[in-house]
Amino acid sequence: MTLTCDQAAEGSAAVGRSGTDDRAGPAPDRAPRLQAEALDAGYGDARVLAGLELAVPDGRFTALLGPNGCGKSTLLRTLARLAGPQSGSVLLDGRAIHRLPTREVARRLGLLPQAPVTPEGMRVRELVAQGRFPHQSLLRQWSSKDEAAVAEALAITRMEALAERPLGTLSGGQRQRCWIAMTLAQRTPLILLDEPTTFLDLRYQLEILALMARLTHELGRTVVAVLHDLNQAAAHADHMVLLRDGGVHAEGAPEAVFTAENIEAVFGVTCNVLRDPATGHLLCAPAAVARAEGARA
Amino acid sequence: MTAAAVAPASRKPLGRLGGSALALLVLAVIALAHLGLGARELSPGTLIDALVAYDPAQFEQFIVRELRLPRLLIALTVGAALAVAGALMQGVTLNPLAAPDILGVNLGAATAVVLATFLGVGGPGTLPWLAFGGALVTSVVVYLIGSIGRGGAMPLKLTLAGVAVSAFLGSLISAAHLLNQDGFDRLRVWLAGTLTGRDMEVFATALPYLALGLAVALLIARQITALGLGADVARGLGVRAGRLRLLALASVVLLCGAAVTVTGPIGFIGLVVPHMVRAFVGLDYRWVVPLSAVTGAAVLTAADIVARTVLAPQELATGIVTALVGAPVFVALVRRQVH
Repeated sequence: MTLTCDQAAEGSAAVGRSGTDDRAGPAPDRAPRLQAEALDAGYGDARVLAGLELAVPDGRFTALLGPNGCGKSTLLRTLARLAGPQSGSVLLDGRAIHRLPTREVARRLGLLPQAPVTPEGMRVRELVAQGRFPHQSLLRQWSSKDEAAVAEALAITRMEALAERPLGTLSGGQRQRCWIAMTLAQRTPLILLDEPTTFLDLRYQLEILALMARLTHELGRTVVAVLHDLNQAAAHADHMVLLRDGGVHAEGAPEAVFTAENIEAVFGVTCNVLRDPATGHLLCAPAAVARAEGARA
Repeated sequence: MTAAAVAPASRKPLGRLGGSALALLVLAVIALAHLGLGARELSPGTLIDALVAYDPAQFEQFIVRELRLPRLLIALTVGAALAVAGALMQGVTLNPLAAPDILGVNLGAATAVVLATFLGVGGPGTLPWLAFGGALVTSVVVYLIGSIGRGGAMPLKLTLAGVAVSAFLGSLISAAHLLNQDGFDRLRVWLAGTLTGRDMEVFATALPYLALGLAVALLIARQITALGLGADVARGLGVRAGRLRLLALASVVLLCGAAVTVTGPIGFIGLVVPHMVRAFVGLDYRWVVPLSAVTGAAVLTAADIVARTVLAPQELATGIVTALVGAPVFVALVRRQVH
């Protein structure tokens, strides 16, 4: 299908993005819509993120990467106001996201948490329709705009043929596409996904990654996803954020960041970074464990 | 979530509007049967006369207007209230076993009323408030006990907490019984859940609270659907989960407290009816809440017909009929949880 500007997110009017052509170049004249400033976050007294600074590039696909326990899910949850900061702040369009009304945030920022429990008796279209929640109220019930947003989300995720099926009858990959469709029906300029490819077969992983790349490059959305597979992230993401010990170790385009030095520093694994002759994408070939895990401080 | 595991295929042929129309039709038929059947069976003509051209001098019309119609109104209202309370509890706790009776909320309300009666405090006007207090305290205590330990408020843990608290409340009621046998006889039938000889003054007092509870339930229905997707997803959609849970609790306390003041604790309506409704309309609580009200009204009215006719001229307590039918369904639901 052809994706047109009609599918631009509803919440983007505030900033007035124009088309998709400026995605490649940075926009130095505008502050990024979502950023973390001196962010400390964690659970209870435990501090997982310490003084983290991050500016999410608008209109790009950003991958959050790092070893287990480095705080990538905590970062995503805090960016999405699911978890509160211990200090510092997350700014959405320049305002502290944790102090904005949650429904107002939901019109600008869509979120797919890690491994949501699928309500099996619900039909695909019903789940996707839930994405319209933040745009509705007692006085403003279901409208043609909602109908259009749901149809469009089903089209983008190629779920139209399955729209009337109960979720319980779908495969894992289809369910994940359905959840993403729900998030798309929210029509937010920003979309955050926590490990959207985990537990999926390789084929579905690639489908989801390609979908996220399309969302950014064809529809101008800003996508942030926690990913596990380095090579997949290098191949599909525009911007990689390597997290280590609760802070950003390195960030930038894969060509700049995806190096043997960075991977060793972050994951504690020596490796060779090669270029796939067929696709031109960078690949990491792990060689050995660099040092005892406890030695890393 | 297992509450959703009911086959949704049956939704297709009729559609939600058709299903709703059918439910209303069934309700109307059951309501008319309720007026017509009983110790003395009345002709449809008498029913119509009693409803549209009431002549108090006609004894049969008098039966309809003064005895059966009030009882029907109570059955409809209390049935709707209990079913809606059950739907809210199941929707908010994501627990297919949650219900006003299973989690002890009804018994909590009843215990408060019993204790107040023995202590000689409270009249018809304050009775609902005592019941609300009992329902509120029980809900909170059961939820806290059920949330202790790993995994939070899991369905079976919450159910066990409800059983434990119910046992405690039951012993309080037994103690009251032992201390005051005479006074207890008046309450004994009420405690089994009955629609016989209910006080219309009490009903009139409870009615505004029932209406308020139902209104709140309808207002929050859409958000409960979203909450059913899990706390994180709901938050991402802009649901304020904490406020929503409080509103649901308020609605449940109003509905159960008021219902119990009128008829005593009637079981299984709140557990079974939402499951029936979801099997037909799915998980959209904008449909589940109103249709639970209609279906709950129909089921309790039907149970009351059975209670009045099966041993005629003797009567069973309506709560016993609902328990006889509802207990096997409860067992089936528990089995599905365990598997």
